Amino acid sequence: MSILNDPSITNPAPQTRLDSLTEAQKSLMTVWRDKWIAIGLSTAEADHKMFEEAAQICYKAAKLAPFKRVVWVKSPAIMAQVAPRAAVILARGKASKDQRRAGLPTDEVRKLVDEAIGRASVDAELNEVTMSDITNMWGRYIGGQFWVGGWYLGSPASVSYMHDVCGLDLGDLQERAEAYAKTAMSCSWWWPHTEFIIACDRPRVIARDGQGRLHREDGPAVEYRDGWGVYSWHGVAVPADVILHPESITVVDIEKTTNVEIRRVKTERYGHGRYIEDSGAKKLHEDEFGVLYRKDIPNDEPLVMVRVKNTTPEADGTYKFYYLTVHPELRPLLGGNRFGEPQSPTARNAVASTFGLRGEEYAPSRES
Amino acid sequence: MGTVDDTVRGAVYDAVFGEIDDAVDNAVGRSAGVAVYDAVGGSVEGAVHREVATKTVT
Repeated sequence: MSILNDPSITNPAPQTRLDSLTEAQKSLMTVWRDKWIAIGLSTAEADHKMFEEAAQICYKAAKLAPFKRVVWVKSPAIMAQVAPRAAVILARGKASKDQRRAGLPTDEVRKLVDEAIGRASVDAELNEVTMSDITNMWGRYIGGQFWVGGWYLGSPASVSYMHDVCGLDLGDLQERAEAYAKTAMSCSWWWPHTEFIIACDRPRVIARDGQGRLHREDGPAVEYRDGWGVYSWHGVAVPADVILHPESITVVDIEKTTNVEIRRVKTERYGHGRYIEDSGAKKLHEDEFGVLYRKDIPNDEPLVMVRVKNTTPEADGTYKFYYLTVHPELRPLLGGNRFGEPQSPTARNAVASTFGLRGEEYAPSRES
Repeated sequence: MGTVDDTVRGAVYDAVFGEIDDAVDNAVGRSAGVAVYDAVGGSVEGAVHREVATKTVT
């Protein structure tokens, strides 16, 4: 029996020891990696039946009594609030009649939070608190789809490769290995308890850029089925407004932002050239090639840009100007993240550096 | 927060991950293990856990 049930894999001869890999086995590594990355980043609906059957086998393997029920939630935000409350209520025992209360609607919770803090809370504040809850309870989850890989060989991806492709037989442990893999193949995070499991549906969106970093320009990069999610710009988690309302970003806002990564994103969203113009950047030099500016940024490298003019006029006879970001020391950009030696701060040297040249090497017949 | 029953998570995790990891570690030679880790488990870890999971809940 294989874990992934890939029909293209011929059942390998069972082995109890694996010391070397054949070329045929090696050739399937990339295929296997991609299969598990796809499982890990799946946005399909959760497979409740597969999870619940597999999770019971996991409990049995852990010598626990069968759990009584699985409660499905749509996001880790809900899980982080439901699971501890349910666990605390169960730990306290059966409520007496005097202690019984009606349900506590979300709106009522919010109203009381507002009352306690003396003003109307805003979504961003409540989200921040929820995020804090989730982070603080990180160690109580099992990762589901997100733990398919791992630093060790016990991960579902590695175990299934060694079993399905290489024939490694884990004997008595095989059933639980398959069960654990199935929990990862069927849902997102889950929270095990003696009596219940809170299991989370998979996200409906996981958006990444070309380098595999979380990135989405018009919504949460990870978005669960109840709308809760995380906004991210090329792998940097940012407040929602940075993604949804970049027009609300101001120079003051950028300069008050202490997190360097978020500040860089805000500057990018605001526009580097516009930021240079609006933030009081220092003009370092001007010549026939352009105007060189420098903006010092606390706890980060300075932003240095050269403003150049397009030599081809627009239809109305005007000229467009562009800002080019250059190395703070005007080191020529050589490609492959390599840079040449520093240059003195002139506009000519700056423009030359964008072509991988030093100023004295740069002699364009015409600028563009 | 002791009432959220941390022992269950630990017991399940040890049974379905820890013990399997130990068994695989004993059954797989070093060079084969490193190769599988580099090409399969570690690569999946990087793409799924490091880039997505940790940035979602931490």
